[in-house]
Amino acid sequence: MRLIQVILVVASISALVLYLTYFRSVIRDRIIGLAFFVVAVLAIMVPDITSVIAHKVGVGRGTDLIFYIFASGSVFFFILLYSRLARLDARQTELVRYLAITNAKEPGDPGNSAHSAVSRSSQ
Amino acid sequence: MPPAQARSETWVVIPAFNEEEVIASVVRNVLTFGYSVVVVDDCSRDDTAKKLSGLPIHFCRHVFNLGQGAALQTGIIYALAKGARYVVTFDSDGQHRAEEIEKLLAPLQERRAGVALGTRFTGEGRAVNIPPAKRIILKVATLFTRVFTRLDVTDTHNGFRAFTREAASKIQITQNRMSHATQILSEIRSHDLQYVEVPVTIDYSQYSLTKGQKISNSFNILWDTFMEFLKS
Repeated sequence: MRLIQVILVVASISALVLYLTYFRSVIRDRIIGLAFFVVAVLAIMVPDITSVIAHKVGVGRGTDLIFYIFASGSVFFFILLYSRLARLDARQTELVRYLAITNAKEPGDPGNSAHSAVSRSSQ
Repeated sequence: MPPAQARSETWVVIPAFNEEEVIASVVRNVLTFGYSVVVVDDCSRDDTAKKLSGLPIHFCRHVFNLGQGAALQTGIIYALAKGARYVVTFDSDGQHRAEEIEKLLAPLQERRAGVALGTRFTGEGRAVNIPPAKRIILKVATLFTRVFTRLDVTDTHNGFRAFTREAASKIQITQNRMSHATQILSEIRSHDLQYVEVPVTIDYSQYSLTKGQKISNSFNILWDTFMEFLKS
């Protein structure tokens, strides 16, 4: 076993453990993570496999195949991340709006209308 | 002139961000006409809120800066919750004239439309002291928006509008930043709301020009509008 294989396998295991313990508890996501791990370790330990598959799908080298998968995978990942960010943004807006409306100052309120709403929201 | 009671059922929504220099005079001016006023302070870092203290207005404050679109939506929801019969959106930088609010309300009160959109580019509408570059950009923006929203309007980025209660409760602004102008029009289109354009005067001053949005933001608006168009 080459040193690089050891390094990569250790990295893969650490990533899997981190992912399973800290981030995902949904069974479906865990299975996807595990499958990803198995494929990664297989590709590290038996690099020729990637070449065999690459030839089958019409790619010259296994390395190129990995690169293509990586490239399209990251595009997908960014889209996912972007949509999650947009959702988070929308939620934040709702929260800020809720606070603004429930803490609104009315003309009859004690103290001067605008100023005290500020000190209240910045507490 | 309608009685005072009816006037207070008209709510003027004024979104404000760092407008300490002019906000008080803008709000006072609107108040003299007897309308209800809600100022939405979009997390100003200056003394905007302080300048308003003591004025008989409703005041909401965003704890983060979200953008003008979000501030408008907050104000509209608030006004509706308070029983507003008509909702008017009004700029805080002094570009709009409070005496023209009733011009926007007229077609709504006559039940000719659910939405009245201010325009500075037709009829008696005027854009006082508008820089030539700004005029060109606004014309181009109008052209694009007409294509995207398929509405026959002459001034698409005019913040001076009036809605009936029914119309205002249908419109959902989710474009927090500046692309809300186009989104309001898309909402009018998708809810099939009756609208009219009303000529208004927009006063450009040294102050409003430095406060107003930069021409370079046009690309962002175009992009958001395009994405919105794809989603619809």
